[in-house]
Amino acid sequence: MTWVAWRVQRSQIIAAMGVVLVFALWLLISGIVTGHNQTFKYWTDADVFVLFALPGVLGLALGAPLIASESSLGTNRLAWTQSVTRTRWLKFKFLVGGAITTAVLIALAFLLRWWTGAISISPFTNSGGFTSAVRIQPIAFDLTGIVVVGYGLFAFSLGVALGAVIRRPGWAFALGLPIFVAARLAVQEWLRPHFVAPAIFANLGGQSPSTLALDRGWILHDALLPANRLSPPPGRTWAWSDFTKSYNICRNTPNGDFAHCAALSHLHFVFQYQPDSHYWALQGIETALFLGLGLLLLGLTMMKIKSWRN
Amino acid sequence: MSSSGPAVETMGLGRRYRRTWGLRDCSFTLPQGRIAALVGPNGAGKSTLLRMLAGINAPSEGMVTVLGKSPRTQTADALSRTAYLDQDRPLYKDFRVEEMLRFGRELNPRWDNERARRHLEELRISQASRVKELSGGQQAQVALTMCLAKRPEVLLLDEPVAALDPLARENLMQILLQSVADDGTTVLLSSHAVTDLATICDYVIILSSSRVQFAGELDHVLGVHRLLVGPAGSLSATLDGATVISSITAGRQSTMLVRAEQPIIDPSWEVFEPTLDEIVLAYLRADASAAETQNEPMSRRERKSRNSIRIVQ
Repeated sequence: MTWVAWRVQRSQIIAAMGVVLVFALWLLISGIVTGHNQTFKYWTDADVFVLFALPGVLGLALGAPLIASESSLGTNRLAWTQSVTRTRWLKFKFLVGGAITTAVLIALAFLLRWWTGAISISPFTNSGGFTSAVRIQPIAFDLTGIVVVGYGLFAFSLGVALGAVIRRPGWAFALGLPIFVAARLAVQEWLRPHFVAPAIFANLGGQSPSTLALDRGWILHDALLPANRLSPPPGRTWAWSDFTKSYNICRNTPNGDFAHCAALSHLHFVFQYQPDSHYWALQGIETALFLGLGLLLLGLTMMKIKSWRN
Repeated sequence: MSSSGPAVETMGLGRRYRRTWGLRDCSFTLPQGRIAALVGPNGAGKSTLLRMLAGINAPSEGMVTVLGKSPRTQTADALSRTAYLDQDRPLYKDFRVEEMLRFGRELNPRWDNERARRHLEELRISQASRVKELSGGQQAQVALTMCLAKRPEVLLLDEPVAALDPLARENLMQILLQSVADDGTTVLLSSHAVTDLATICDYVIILSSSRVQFAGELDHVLGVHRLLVGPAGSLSATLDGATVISSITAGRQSTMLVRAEQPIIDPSWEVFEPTLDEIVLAYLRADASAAETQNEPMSRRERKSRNSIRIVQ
C-alpha cells in the first residue's frame, strides 16, 4: 500500500522536487554572492515575495494533485473498487504525501536558515537599514525557524482539500495560492501579535528610546501617552492622536530638548512589542496553528470522500 | 460462496444528477451464477446503475444490495467480492503493466497473479510496456485482467467488448463462461453488441428512459415476446393482454413487437418468435420515439396515437 501511494504520486513528487531544486540553487547562489559582498547585504522585494510564497508553492504542488489528478483521470474509480476502503486509501496517500512534503520542507527550512544568516538576517542586527531583518519581525520570522514546515504542510492540506472539491489539480493550485497568502497575512496581522502577551516599554523621561530590547523586538504599537498610562485610555486605540499636537510642539523645541518638553507636558513614550525572547513561543504557536488548520482540512477531505457525494 | 441470496438486488433505485435523473425506479433481482446483459440505448442509465452497484456513487433514492450488503458498507471484505470495469478503463498511464499488476496484488487479498500473467501472455501484452504505450484495445484488456485477477464473486463490466476486436470478444466470452463455470461468478455486463451477448447470457435487463423495462431470464424474455406481422392499419384492440412495445409500418405491412403472457390467437396477424436482438431493438425504438415525443411539438392527436403504442409497464 505504501508502494502504491508512492508510485501513484511519483511523477508529481519528481516535478515538485525539480521546482524546489531550482529555488534552492537560486538561494545558494544569492547567499554565497551576497555573503561575500560586505557592503550590500540585503534582500530585494522579489526575494521576499518568492520566499514568502515558496512553502506554499511547494505544499500546493504536492497536495493539489493528490486527489484531483485521480478524479480528473478517473483512476479514483479504479482505486476505490480494489479491496481497500477509501479511508485506508486516503490515509496512505496522506501519510506518504505528507511525509515527503515534510522532508522537503525541513530541508528548505535549513536552507533558508543558512541563507538568512548569509545575508545577515541575524537576531541582533539591522543590516542595510532593513528593519524587518530582526528574526522576530515579520518577513525574517517567516523565513527562519520551524514555521516554514507549518506553512508548507498547511499548503499541502489546502491543496488536497481544494483538489477534492474542484477535481482539477491546476485549478486547485491556482486557487490555493491566494488563499495561502491571505491566511498567512491574516495570521501575521491579527493573530501572531497576541499569541503571547506583548511586553511594554515605557520611557518616563519622555526620551525617544533606543534600547537593545526594542531594536531586537517586534514593535506592535507605540504612542505618546499621559505619564500615568501604559496603554491608551479606555475607548481609545493606539492610533489615538490627542497628544500629537504636544508632541509636535516639543519636537520643534529649539536645542532639541525634547525630553524636557515632554516631561513638562506630562507625557511619555510607551512601546508595546514582542521581545526576542518570545521568538520560539511565537514560532511554536504559529506552527501548531497552521498544522492544526491542515489537519482540519484533511479531516474534511476524508469526510467528503467517504460521504460518496461525487 | 458467502450467501445463497441474490447476487444483486435493487428496489426503486434512482440517482439524480443536477436536474435530470440518470436512473429512476430501478427494481430487479439478479440470482447468483448468472451472466446478465444490461442493454439499453445511450444515456439509459446503464453506467449509472453499474457505478452504484460498484459502490462508487451513492443512490439518490431506493435501495441496492450486492451479495446481501449495501455497496455503501465499503468494508475491505465486501469490496474484495466485487470487481468493476469502468467504461473509461481508468489505469495509471505512466505505470508499466507489471506495476499495474503489483498495484492489484497489494490492494487485493485474493489476487490471482498467475491468472493475470497467463491472460496477458495469451494476449501478447508485455508486462514491461507502459500502459500509455498500449493500444486502446490492449488497455481495455489490462483493465479487464485487473478485474478477473481479483477473483470476484460479482463481476460488473461496463461495455467490456466496446474496444475489442471480434477475436478478443470471442475470447472474452469464453473467459466469462469459464469463470462462471469454475467459480460460480455472477457477471453483469452492459453492452450494445446484443448479438454477442445472446450466445452467453442467460439473464437480460433492458433499460430505457432511465427505467427498467424488462428484467428476467433469457428464456422468459424470449417466451413472452412475439413478433406480429400483418396488414398495415390493422392495429386492433383485439390483442387482449398484449402490450405493444413498438410497431413499424412499411408499405402495406405492419410489424409489431408485443409482450404477451398468453398465446396470441388473432387470424389477422402472423406470429413469430423474435430473437433477443429484435426484442432489444424494439425497446430501443420505443425509447427513441418517446424521446421524439418529448423533443418535437406534435399535434394533440398525433401525440395521443403515439402514446397508445408506447410501452406500459
